[in-house]
Order: sequence, then structure tokens, then C-alpha cells
Amino acid sequence: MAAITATAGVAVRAPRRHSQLSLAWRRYKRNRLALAGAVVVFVYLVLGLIGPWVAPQNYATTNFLYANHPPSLRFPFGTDNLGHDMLSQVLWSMRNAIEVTFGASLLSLVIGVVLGLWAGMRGGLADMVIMRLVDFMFAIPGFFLSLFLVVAMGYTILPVLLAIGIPGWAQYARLVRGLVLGMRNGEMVEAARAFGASRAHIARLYLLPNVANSVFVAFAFGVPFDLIVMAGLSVVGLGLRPPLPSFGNMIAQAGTNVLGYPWLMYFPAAIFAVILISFLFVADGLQEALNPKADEGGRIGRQRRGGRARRLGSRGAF
Amino acid sequence: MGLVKYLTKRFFAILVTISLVLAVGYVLIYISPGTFYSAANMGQGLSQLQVSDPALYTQYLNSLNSRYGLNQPLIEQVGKYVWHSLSFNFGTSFQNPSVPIVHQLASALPISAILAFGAIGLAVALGVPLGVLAALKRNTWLDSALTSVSMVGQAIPAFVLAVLLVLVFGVWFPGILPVSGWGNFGEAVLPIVALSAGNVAVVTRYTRGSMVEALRQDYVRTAEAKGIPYRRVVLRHALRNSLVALVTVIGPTFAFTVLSTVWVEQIFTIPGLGTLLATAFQNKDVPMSITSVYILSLLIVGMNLVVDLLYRVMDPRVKLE
Repeated sequence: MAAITATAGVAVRAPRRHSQLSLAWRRYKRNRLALAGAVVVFVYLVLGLIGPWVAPQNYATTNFLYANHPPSLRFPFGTDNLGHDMLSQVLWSMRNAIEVTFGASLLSLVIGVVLGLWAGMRGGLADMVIMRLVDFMFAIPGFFLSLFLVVAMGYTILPVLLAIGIPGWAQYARLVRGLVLGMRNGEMVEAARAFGASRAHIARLYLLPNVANSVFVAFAFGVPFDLIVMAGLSVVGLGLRPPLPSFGNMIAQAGTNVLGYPWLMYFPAAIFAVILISFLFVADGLQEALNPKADEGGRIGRQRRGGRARRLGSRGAF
Repeated sequence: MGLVKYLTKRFFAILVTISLVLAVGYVLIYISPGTFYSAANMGQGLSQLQVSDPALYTQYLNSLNSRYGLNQPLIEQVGKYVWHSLSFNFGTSFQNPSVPIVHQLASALPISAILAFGAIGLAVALGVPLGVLAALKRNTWLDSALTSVSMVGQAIPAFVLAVLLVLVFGVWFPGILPVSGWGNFGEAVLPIVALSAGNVAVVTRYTRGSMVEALRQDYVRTAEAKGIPYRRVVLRHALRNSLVALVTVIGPTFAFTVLSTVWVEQIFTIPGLGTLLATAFQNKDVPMSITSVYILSLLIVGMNLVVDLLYRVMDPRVKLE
């Protein structure tokens, strides 16, 4: 609790110091949907971590005696046409999805932040070249580049991760460059320069911490987007190759089998949808919590969120 | 900037973008492992030939390679490929050597275009009224319901929704609408609905936002003060100005919709560009896979140009740059 000091008979409540993080958490807590989303995302991450150990079967185990078995006690989510236990498939898919989407988003983030910092700091030719590339990547959906990259590299975890991650950098680069341009000529950087700080030093210790919040929010939106891209690749037959399970494979497979064996779609599609929505709630909550300026006027906040549609639509990169 | 100068500049920008797409695509497929001349694609006869008469087998492959120009240096191949594609000379695909790609496009492109434009049209037709409604009833249960629903609609990708629609109209209520194929009006309904759900959400949210903003403007108060009926104030003064901003979201939304047609066509087994693209990529059919991406990209880039011009027409204050 706040310390109370008595000065000349008047009780003055010393202002309590709040860290930025606790303030952000306080703002985040207000958003119930974001809290619920965080719980689901947490459960998803835990299941993804322990899933392979608790799964009743290995993802490649087939049991033809029980092919296309409806949900029962033994197979809570039913089985598919090869007798895969769908519960195990879902659990393994979570593991694969976490590896691919977080890895891909992280890869995009690292490339994008480095190029964005470089473009913003250096200006001139470097800036021009990088921004032309960004324009190019924004002109056409990155999914198309992912298609070619998958064909070129292969159909296992790492190639798919790279194929999704490489086209995603433009988003981060544009964001970081914009923020850096706003700070480049500010007093903070000027002071650092006066002390003789090198460019790399300024970028690392002065600029990076100041763009971290925005980059983190972009990352939070990037992960569910990459989840969509990953499943989308599977839908056109260019994702993880069976027997590696993935949500996209299960959903695409359900599409052709839904008339006879609808349980093949109930569980994977529902779980996939819930995970996606939860991620978006979390990202939305983070956006409000970490960008207090956007939160001041509810209307501005709403409009900014409307902008996400644009980001989702054209997070393109190729 | 003058219109002619602007268009010239944009034209060259588009040319460079598309050429890069073609070149990058070609090189990536070129360096990819595997070959189209596999038993799965060419029939069992090829692998038998390889065993029984290796010399004839090599000769056969060489003749195919020289037919498709695959024996030339990579730079030359890329240059020629880009140039031929830009002049709409696509040649034939590996899978159907007897049918020019142009003919395949002629039957597939209209289908994808109907899906994409239908989805955008439906989204505007539904989203604008819903957005206006949400803005007029802002901060009521109706507003929050619409906002939440559109948030969910935005989060769910079209292919999940498509599978869901197949379930509803194929298993639960069969016989109302066909759930696969292409050819008549009924078969277009579900794919377009699946594609437009996300767009309806986007348009609703965006319209709501800009309407709320517009309704607080001075000119709306002035119009009300003049005694103009509220209905007219909303439709004529506020909505008209909000729609200008809406045009700018159509471009990116369209890009994502074109992408989604590729997925949705798979689920509903529609013979559009997306199906051409998917089968071509799965079979390493180099000309067809690059051409389908090229045409889809062209559609997106062209739509962006149209949107920019439209924006200029609707808002004279906007300067083309």
C-alpha cells in the first residue's frame, strides 16, 4: 500500500510508482474477452507442449479395424479413414502448429525489425531499396511466395516454417521504420549522438526498446495470421505432408468426408476456430494495453482496430 | 500529377512487380528438387523404358527438355519466360500438353472472378447497412452484438467456414443448396457466402467506425439544424462521406478474397483458377503454376489501381502520387 507521510498535519499520499508492465496488465485485465482469450491460448500452448506425451497414440499409428469409427470412449474424437485416433491427431497438430507459427512469426519479426531499423537509421539508398522491397511485398499476397517456397524446400516442419516466415517481414519492417523515423531526429537520439554513440548502439539501446511494444503487438497479430496461412497451404496440398498431422490437413480432409463422417470436421475445425479467435482477442487486448494513447478515446481505439482488417487483408508479401 | 503521367507511372510499377513475381517464381521452381517426369505424371511406361532402354529414355527426356526450353541457361529461361508471360503467350502446361493454357484460363478465370467479385458485392450490400445500423445504435446491445459477431467473422478463415457450410447444407439440412460443383446459380451461393463472411465483417466494422466519426462532424449538426429530416442527414450527409473512406479498404480486402477463392474452390470442388493452381503446384507443373499465380496477382494489382482511381473520383481532395 502507499506510504502515508504526515507533513504539517496534512496527510499526503505519496504517489505509488507503477511499472509500465503493471499498468499495461491493469488495462489488459479490463478486457474480459482478452482475458478469456489468454486462458485459451495458455491451454493451447500447454497442450501443445505436453500433447505428444499425453496423446493416446502416435500420430502415425493406424488401426484399420477401427477406420472411420465415430466418437466413443476409446476414441473421443473418432477416427479417420486410416484409423488415426483424431484426438491424438489434434494434440500433435497443436505441437506442429505452435512450432511452425511461432517460429515463422519470429523469423518475420527478426528480419523485419533489423531491416526496419536499418532503413530508418541509415536513410538514403538503403532506405529506398528496402522500402521498394516492402512495397513489392505488400502489392501481392505473401501466400503466393509461400507456395513457391514450399515447392522449392519441401513439406516438413522446417521448410514450411521458412516458407511462411520469409514472406512476412515487410509488415514489421514498415512498422519499425515508421517509428524510427519519428525518433531519429528527437532529443534522445541527438543526446546519444552527442555522447559519441555509434549507430548500432543507438539502434540497440535507444530505438529498439521504444519500438518493442508495437512490434510485440504486431507479433501477436502475426501468429494467428500465420496459423491461417499454414492451414491454407495444407488446403491446397502444400502444407505438412501426411503422416505429419496439421489442422489444415484435417480440415481439408473433413471437407471431402463431411457427408459420411462429420465428426472428422467437428473437433478439428471447432478447435482451430476457437484457437484463432482467442489469439485475435489476445492481440486486440494487447494492442489496447500496450498503446495507451490509442485507448484514450474509445472511438480512436475502435478505428484503429478497424485497421486490423486491412492488415490481415494485405499483410501480403511477395 | 496529371492522370496520364500517373497511369504511366503505375503501369511501369505494375510491370516491375509482376516481372519480379514471375522471375522469383520461376527460379524457385527451377531450384526445387524433383521433376515433373515422374512415373506418377508420365505413366508407368516411362520407368519401364528407363530399365529396358536407357538410351531411348534419355533421348526422350532430352526431347521433352528441348521442347520446353529447359536445356537453356537459367537466365535465358527466366528472361524468356517473363517476356512470354507478359505478352500473354503462356504456351501449354505440362499436364495437358494438347490444350493451350489460355483456353484453360478462359474457362477458369471467369469462375474465380464471379466468386471474388460476388463476395465483395455481397459484403458491401450487407456490411454497409449493418455498419450504419451499428453506428446509429452505438453503445447498445445491438452495436456490441454486431461488433462481436463481425470480430468472429473476421477471425474465421473462409475455408473453415466453407467446411462448416458443407456440414450444415450437406448433413443437417440436405437438399436446400448444392454443396459442391459448379454450373448453375445455386452452386455459386455457398462459396460466395463463405468468401464474403469475413468481408462483411470488415465492411461493417469500417462503416461503423467512419459513420460514428461522420455523425459527430459539424456539417451533420448544421444539416440537422437546418431542419433536414434525420434519415436524409444520415444517408445523404454522413453516409456519403463515410463511403469514400470505405473504398480504401476494398483493395486489400479484395486481395485477401482472391486468395481465399483458392481455398474455397478446393472445399467446394469448383473448377476455377484456384483448382488449376493447386493441381499445378502439387504436380510441379511449372508453366501452369506460375501462370495461375501471375493471373491472380494481375487481378489483385489491377483492382488496387481501380480502387485508387475510384478514390480519386470520389474525393477530389485526394492527390494522386
